[in-house]
Amino acid sequence: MTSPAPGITAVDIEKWFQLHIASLTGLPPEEVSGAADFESFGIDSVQGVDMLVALENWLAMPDDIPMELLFEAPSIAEAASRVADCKARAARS
Amino acid sequence: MLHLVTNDNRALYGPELDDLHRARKAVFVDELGWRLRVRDGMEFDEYDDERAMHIIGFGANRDVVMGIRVRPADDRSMLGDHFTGFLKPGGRPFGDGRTWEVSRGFCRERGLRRPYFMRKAACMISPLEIALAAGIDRYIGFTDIRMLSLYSQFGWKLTMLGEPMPYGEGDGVAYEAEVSQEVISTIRQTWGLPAPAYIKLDDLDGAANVHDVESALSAADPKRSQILPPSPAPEPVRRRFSPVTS
Repeated sequence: MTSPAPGITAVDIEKWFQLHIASLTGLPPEEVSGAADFESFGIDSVQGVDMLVALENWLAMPDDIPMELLFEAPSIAEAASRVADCKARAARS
Repeated sequence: MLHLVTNDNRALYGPELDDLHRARKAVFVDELGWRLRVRDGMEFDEYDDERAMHIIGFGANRDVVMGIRVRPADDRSMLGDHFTGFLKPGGRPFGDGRTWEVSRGFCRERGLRRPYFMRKAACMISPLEIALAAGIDRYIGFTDIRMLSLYSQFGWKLTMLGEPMPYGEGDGVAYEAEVSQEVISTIRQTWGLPAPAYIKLDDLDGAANVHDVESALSAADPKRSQILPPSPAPEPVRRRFSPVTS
């Protein structure tokens, strides 16, 4: 996936999650609900960590996104929101 | 909680070791399709000898859900015997007395929340703790490259011993992992693990089996109880892909 524009939003990140999960599971992206959590798609730890690393690379934030930000979130949409906040904080510091 | 099983205490773990080898058959032969030796539904190889040490984690149903084997590499090793083509020439010899090998690592426990990762982290730190106590300063191993991110995420410090190459089931690479107090301390702090993360039982102390001993030890140590198996993760809503072990 290409690098995001500077004004990345939670919606952009949620879309990224949907596309990534769709590619893992074979589901159509529109069936990857932002209201679901990651575990509900049967993602295992290898795939989970790979997704985290891919996200960090996409956002140009290597080793900067705590695993809990994604996997403790109650939903993909909430995870996207937390990652967007994390990205904004990193940009300010 | 992780159990260390060596030649000294393997008599305590008869059924559990059988379960370990059945789990290895399920993971490596049935799921990953590796062509390995199977006997009575269990996978064994030539490195499952009296020098092998097994780190085993049990699930809520007392079944083996994670395991890893470590063994001194000073007489022979999987990497030196079977994967020499993956090694750059001129590396440090495996028979230097300070090298152990790690192999047959697997985890069948699903779940992405912290308790699950904590248990995997306990499984990853235990070999380092055991090796450091024995005066070892590195592990060698061979892995599918898909596992490298996970190892690093858990805090292992890896150095590749050659270039990744196809091994028949994907691309694999030979590596060494640093064994040091610094690495162990970092992992322990990151994941909030007890020291050590594993237990080694010398006897059952009147208990019926190793699981009952584990329960008693956990009840007496809150930090240790954190790495007991959590409730099973919910079944995925939809899946159209094969599981990949971790």
